[in-house]
Amino acid sequence: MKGIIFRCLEELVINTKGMDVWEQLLEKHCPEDRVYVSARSYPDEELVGLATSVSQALNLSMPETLKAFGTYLFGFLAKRHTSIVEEFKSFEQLIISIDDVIHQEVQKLYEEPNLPTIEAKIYDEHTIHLVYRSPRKLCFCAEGLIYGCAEHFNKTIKIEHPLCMHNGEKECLLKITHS
Amino acid sequence: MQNYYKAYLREKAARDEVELLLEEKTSKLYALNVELEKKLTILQQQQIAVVQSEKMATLGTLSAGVAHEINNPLAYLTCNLETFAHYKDDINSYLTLMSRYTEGDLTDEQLIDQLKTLNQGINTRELTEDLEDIANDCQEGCGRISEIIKNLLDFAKPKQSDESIFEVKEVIEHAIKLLENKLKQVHLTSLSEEGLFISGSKSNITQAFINIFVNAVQACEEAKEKGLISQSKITVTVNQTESEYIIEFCDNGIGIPEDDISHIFEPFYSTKPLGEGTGMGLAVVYGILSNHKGSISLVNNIDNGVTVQVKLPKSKQ
Repeated sequence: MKGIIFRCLEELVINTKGMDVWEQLLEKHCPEDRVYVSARSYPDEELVGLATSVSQALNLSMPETLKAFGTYLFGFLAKRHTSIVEEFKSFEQLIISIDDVIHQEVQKLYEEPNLPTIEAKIYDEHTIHLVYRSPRKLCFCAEGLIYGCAEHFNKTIKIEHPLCMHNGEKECLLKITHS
Repeated sequence: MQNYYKAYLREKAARDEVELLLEEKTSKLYALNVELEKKLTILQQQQIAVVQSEKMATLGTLSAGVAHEINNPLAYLTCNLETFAHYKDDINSYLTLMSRYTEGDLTDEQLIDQLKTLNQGINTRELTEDLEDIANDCQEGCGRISEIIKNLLDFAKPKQSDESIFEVKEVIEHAIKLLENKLKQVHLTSLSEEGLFISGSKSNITQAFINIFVNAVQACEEAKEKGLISQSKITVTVNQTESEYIIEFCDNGIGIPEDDISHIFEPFYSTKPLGEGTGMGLAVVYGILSNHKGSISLVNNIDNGVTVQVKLPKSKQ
């Protein structure tokens, strides 16, 4: 997992729970003197460990924690890469361009980012169907990112998750309904 | 504690800024790399076009020899077909006779009578022997022509990719075969073992060896014209180190002025008179060998002529 994701988690934990908590999490789950740098890759297990402890500290389930983190992550990334987000005029436009535009931009910045495959199609005027595939199975984080994107565009959305890789499906289907 | 937190925030801001700078540079590097890849693709396409046009130029050089090689079998094919045309009427007479007999138009006695009459004018024993010779000769002639054309096509036909593993000896022999006519007046010694494998484009390596041979032949002809030698000689040897084959083409030709040697692989550089040679011959050889992770060097021999040394990596398979 790329360092930028860890850096976002670091910011979220420090802003909400303070530096001590973050230090404790690092001590518990990471090698000594771990410093996250956005462009480098770190073991996925570290993120899972950190996220598990965060979910316990917040008394939230793992999916809820990942959703909350995803929502925060969108704002974090949008703040760092304003020019990319400004290319999109609407929520729908951004969502359907994830694979073609957003992920292409990520490929330019980071070596082997191991991105998920996202296929988003407009189903009708108010619905987008998004298929998520990744061996990491971070579909709840993807849900959070979509909520974060909706917040950015001041949209109210609802996401249904009828097919999920965590239930043995090959891919996740997210049905996004927006106003 | 508040001071520590402030210090942390300052350090974090510094880290953010450095990371943004890194991302900016990475992004620019990516764009430059894309541009570079596009240019590399164009360059590779142009290189293919240059090699192809060099092949066409070589075909021009080879055409007289090829015409001669095809003319020989064609001459006896024509001659045999003329003989066959001559025999055609006799064979037809026999076949017509047999056909009439099987259809019941002739009795046994009539058939024997007419066969005897026919036999008085035709030597059937000679005819059957001749027919077999004609068929064998025609097959052999067609085989030779088709072999020459196959060799030419193998060499000249543009291919998207003909990457394969092949023997050094095979390419040397293919080049010699294509240059058969040009090499007739040359005392050629080719010392190459079997089982020395390289990988890459067979037709391009053939092209490279042809260009080296053509230069050697021309250098020998010039030396002969100037009375420096009485017999043109080219010797090809193949040696090996642990990782590569060293192929040397040694001639007893006119040699190359020392000042020209450093320019000899430059495109459009030619020591030949204006209008002769494209000046691309050795530049193309250099390009082909570089593409195969090989190299070429050239030195004047102590006595006379030039030795061209080609190094090609051994095939890994």
